[in-house]
Amino acid sequence: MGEDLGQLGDVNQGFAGLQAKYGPLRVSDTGIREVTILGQAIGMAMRGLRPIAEIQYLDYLLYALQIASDDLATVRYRTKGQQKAPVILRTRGHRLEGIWHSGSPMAGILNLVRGIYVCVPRNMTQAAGFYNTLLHGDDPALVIEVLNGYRVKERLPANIGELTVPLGVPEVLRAGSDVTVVTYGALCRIAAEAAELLSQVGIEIELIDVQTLLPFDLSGRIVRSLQKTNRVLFLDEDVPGGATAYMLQQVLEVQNGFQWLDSPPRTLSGKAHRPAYGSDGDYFSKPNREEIFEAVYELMHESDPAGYPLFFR
Amino acid sequence: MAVPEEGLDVVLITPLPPDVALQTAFKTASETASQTAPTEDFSVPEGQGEAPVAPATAVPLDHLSPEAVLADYRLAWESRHASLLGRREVLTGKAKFGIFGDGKEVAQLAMARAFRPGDFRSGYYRDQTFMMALGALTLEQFFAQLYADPDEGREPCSAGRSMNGHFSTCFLDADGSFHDLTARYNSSADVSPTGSQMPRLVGLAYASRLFREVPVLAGLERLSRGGSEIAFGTIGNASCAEGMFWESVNAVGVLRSPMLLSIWDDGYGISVPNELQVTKGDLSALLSGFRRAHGEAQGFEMRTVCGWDYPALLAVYQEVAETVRREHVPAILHVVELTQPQGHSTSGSHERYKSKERLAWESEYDCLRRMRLWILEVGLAQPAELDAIEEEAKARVRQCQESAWRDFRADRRGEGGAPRPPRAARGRHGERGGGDRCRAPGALPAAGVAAPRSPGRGERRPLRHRRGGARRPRGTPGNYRVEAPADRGQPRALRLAPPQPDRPGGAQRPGRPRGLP
Repeated sequence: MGEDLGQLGDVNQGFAGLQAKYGPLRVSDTGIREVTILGQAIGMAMRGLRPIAEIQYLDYLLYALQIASDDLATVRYRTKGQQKAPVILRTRGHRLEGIWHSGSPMAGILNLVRGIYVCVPRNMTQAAGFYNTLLHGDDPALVIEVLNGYRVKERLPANIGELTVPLGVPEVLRAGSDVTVVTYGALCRIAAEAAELLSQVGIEIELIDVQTLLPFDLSGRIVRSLQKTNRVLFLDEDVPGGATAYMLQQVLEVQNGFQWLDSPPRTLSGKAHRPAYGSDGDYFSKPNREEIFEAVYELMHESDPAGYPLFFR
Repeated sequence: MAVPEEGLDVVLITPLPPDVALQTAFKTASETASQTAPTEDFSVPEGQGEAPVAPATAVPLDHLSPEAVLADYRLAWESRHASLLGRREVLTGKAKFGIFGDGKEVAQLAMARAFRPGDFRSGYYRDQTFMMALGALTLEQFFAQLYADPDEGREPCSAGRSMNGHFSTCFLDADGSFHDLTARYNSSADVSPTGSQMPRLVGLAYASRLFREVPVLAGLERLSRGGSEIAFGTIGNASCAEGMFWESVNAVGVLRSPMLLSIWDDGYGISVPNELQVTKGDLSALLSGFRRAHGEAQGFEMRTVCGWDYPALLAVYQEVAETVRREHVPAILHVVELTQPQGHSTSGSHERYKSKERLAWESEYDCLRRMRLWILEVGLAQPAELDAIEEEAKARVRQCQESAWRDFRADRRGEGGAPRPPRAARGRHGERGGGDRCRAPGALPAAGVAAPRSPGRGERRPLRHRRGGARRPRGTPGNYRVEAPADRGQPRALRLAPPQPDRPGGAQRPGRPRGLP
């Protein structure tokens, strides 16, 4: 259920045709009421139903964040496992346009919802895998689809309704030996483009998609990469000190990755302001391909100034 | 306590014919109110002797046995003493914080009698009497939560993770599967932020509609019986200032779901009175736009009822719950003229912000006092019998508190503490009175143990002044007063919304109410 999800099938047509197929009670339109969209899902899930509640854009999640944090995230904890609320809270975002439609307030969210899984699929195939996994499980989760992904074509797996993606398992998208680049969501694609540029100057990054922020890299996959490359860049669209700082703390402190560093650990995030609506502001507010290139190149320059001169300064 | 599983016992309690007994009871309550109104701020105007309006489908008193009424009275006093003792436990350092449901007991007795197995609650920290009336909470468990006992056998609501007054029942068994929720009294687990019980209440109610109307859900017999479950909500008057209250009410109205919401209105939110919480200071007025007109599909059943008027509360809860369950129409009960004898919590004292007149009125209209007066008026018991009940309640609460404290401390000291029976024996599944060690025969105090005489018998209860010396000035904004509904020139006794006209089958005199099991 969600806003414009019933009759229209949601703003990106993800539910197109489903209300006609399953009826207006199973696929339904709600009013503009994020707090009670989530609350409705919590109550339904407590009684044994399996609701998928949609927040139309990631930025609107802020309306529901209090209930997500105070209620949904604490259901199992405050009852010591005697109650559960397996809500799937679905949204889309990162880059629409403008101040209130392009946010990636990931640290703001994940720090308030310890007790809820936070899934950040890079494309629709991974998102489908998360939905399937979560429907097998018993726990609440937030799934943040990449809005821009609706403009990109993907190959449709034959088992789209069955495939599962495990939680807490990063995926190596590109192997490399020079710098480990850790990211998620919309930046996976942009970092892959930067990887091509870097390859042309002889730098091979190992690009890792964390896939879920909660739980985070349960088996230490990123540290194994760090053992190989000895350099790491944490990359996302959140504000400085946001989810990049979270990932950095997880890898370097919790998983003891610090001991394999030969260079300072780096983060590259969005800027400390909301993205401007105008196209230039949109480009500069969040990491772009050129910025990623420069950040990685600077790491290599620090380790080998002669081999990697700073030609862009 | 032998509270019947279904409906009310059918036993004549007086020699008078049922309708006369009812009229007598209602009339007496009204007369008592008008005779004892204490101050000019809250007095009933002279000459208001007309018969108060009874709800159209009032439960005749001969459907409720004397034993059941006295059991309710005993439970209410046990709950009150749990509040009084609980506050002392905090102020003497054995617990960190305490917040209690004193002043709300009688309305919750009535609500519990409308609650059926399979129903759900989403409420807040004043609901202890309701939970105890269902048998879903024992006095020992209540105190264990006050002490934050981490043992889930002794503190089943939250195993010491929530502060006191946060109620819950067990939905899942040991492997995480659902119990048969249709056979239990269910309560979602409370959270502290007031108003936050409302959003999930939307879903708890809406689920009934889905279970009733979505064919693929028909076979889930452990979750619902044809969507016949009501989601009972409770909220305080001041929390109705929260945006999520209005959003939730609106959502339930749009979703046409079986919610029965009770607003416990004691005129304040901590120190801030209704005038500063709610436009016009009157929630019934504000909510009136949600009211369902006759024949309308959308909208709410709405009632206003005094929180000290036991027979009226019984009647209105029975009547409204039946409508909600059958028609999936949501309802709001605005329960007014409640009191808060100990103030908001152990974090303060209400003498700091309530006027002398207000405190006197609260003492006079304390729901336990009014219930006692009503019991005496209709001749259900003698004063000595009620005194004994009150004393026994106090003694029993003390016993249960001591037991909970002993077990908690013994465990802390590693002395093993009380044995922890498996969950099934502990009454956490909502069985009435199940597994409560304090209820074992012989738990009453031995003869000869002196119990302090509690004020009653028509005496004005002394106000509790916790601080000596000059009374502190009232807080901002100055010399406010809380306007009681009686100021509008109607008898205080039965401030019910008028019965809906032309309702099919609406009886004008008490007879056997339809629909009661």
